Amino acid sequence: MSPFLETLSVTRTELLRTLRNARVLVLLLLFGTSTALIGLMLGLLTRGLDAQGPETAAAAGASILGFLWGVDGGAVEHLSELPLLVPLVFGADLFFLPLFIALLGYDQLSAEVATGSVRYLAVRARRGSVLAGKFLAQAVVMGLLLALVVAGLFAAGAGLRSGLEPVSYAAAAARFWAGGAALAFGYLALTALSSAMTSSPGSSLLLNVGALFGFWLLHAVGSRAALVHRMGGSASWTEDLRWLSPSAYASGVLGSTTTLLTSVAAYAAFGAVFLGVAWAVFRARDV
Amino acid sequence: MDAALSFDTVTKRYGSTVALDRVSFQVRPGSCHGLVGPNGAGKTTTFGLAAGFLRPGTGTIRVLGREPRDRGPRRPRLGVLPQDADLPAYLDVGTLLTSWARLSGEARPEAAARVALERVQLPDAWDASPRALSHGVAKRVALAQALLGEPALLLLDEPTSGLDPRAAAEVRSLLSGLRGQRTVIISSHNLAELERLCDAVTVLDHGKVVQDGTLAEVTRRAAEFSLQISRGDVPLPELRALPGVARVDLSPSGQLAVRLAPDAPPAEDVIAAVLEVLLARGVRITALIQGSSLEQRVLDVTSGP
Repeated sequence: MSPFLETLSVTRTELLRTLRNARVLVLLLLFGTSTALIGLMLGLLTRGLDAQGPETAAAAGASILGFLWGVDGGAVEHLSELPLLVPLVFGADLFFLPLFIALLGYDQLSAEVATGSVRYLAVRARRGSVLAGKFLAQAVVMGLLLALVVAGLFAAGAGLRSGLEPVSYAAAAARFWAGGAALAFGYLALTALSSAMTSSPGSSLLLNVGALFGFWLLHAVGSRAALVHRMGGSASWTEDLRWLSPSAYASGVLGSTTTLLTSVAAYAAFGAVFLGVAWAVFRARDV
Repeated sequence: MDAALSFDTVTKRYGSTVALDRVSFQVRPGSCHGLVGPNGAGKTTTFGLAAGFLRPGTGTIRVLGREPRDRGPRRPRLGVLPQDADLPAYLDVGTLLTSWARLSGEARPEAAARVALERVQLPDAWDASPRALSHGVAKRVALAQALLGEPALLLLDEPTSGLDPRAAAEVRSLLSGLRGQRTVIISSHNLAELERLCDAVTVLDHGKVVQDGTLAEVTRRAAEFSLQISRGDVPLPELRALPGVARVDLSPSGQLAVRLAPDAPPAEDVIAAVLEVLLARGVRITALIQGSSLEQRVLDVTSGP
């Protein structure tokens, strides 16, 4: 069997398992419910702003988004076309997405190594196919979840503001989904790496959350140094550290076309590196 | 003919612990080979290395002429029953087996999965959840997956442990039926079972091979036999003078142990000569045991955990 068919076979089985896993279903439900609740609260808060017209809402939105997510000025133009609720809630989802992904997939390989059940796969499939199949299954679930969230948000947004241009509104939804999916790809790969390196679900989750914290810290240290520099302080090599963290590219998902493409490319690169290392580790290790 | 499995000076360490120390042995194609030894002897590590789950530190392993971790188009057709590996949760037995059959290259995976379940006498387990299975039934499901893909080499780690006597007998019968069709390597603490099933045995102790050969060689069937004497005077000098007899000992309990000389005629001829002498003297014999039992040999050559 070719590696491609092996991967598809593992993906298919893994998807079935994922959709019958109570923990995963509860997590998906929790993510959907919390998105809906945040949407409801922010919808009530932003309703008044949206009622004052697109320009006022966009100006307020740019301030809020700039403060919360560091969205660049170029993003204001395309965000002004959207009800404020949409980027705010999606931004909140993106903030929690890395942790959610860690909780969703930390045991994809580590639990199977711990219980020995990975041996039933490892005896008949390439290690790379096992890793890729499990990763793809998680990616499909995340892709569908994001599609549902984006569709729900944009549908709710359409109810808040009249006179939206359908084609550009749908295009904005597609942009949000693509950006979110790219971010999810990068963090899913990090989760796959954590799971491939460890032999118990607990240590996998610990490593994954530790890596998230480490990347957040890297981004925070680099951003602070950059801010000091911008405010007239001296330049520091630590400024550039932030670009080594996936966190640095999250705001670009909501940004202008250029920053969105930069973010997508960055998450693709992070994902490829994480998956490459995961493959090398899983291929070499004892199971 | 190339060996179905060969280990050549293989060493495997877990940190500072040496699990296997320069282990070498070969398994003949089509044979049933037993892997025995006390707990911690290295049997499961040997299985893990042969199946490609573990990577050796040093040495060479060939499985059906290939590297054990090869999962490419010409990969060795292996069936493995791993020890203490849980069946994956959240899927029913039928879906799991069908998925594994597909990966094993079965053209009709579902049909192959059903046949495998029938071979382990569990056709009704198709819709069962692995979590709901008893240890014994789960073991038989795991055995069913090992049979998928018509493997040329079966590695079975403790195939009958945890099974009730009837299920164990059914598994033994299944394994007997596989003799000659494919190479089977079994690890078990049930030495009487291995004695019935296997043609050859490798005995491991503390990570080293301490005995390796055909069952006859290991149990010294051609080298010694014993008789249980219930009555009569045993003419020891006359027996010691028989051609091919190297040593004769009579224990107080009446066990007459006869060891053959290296250049002795076939053991059956020496046994016949000894019996003739004893029967002529009116000695009553209640049992004849050729060689030692495998259990006795393993106890003799291993030092325990």
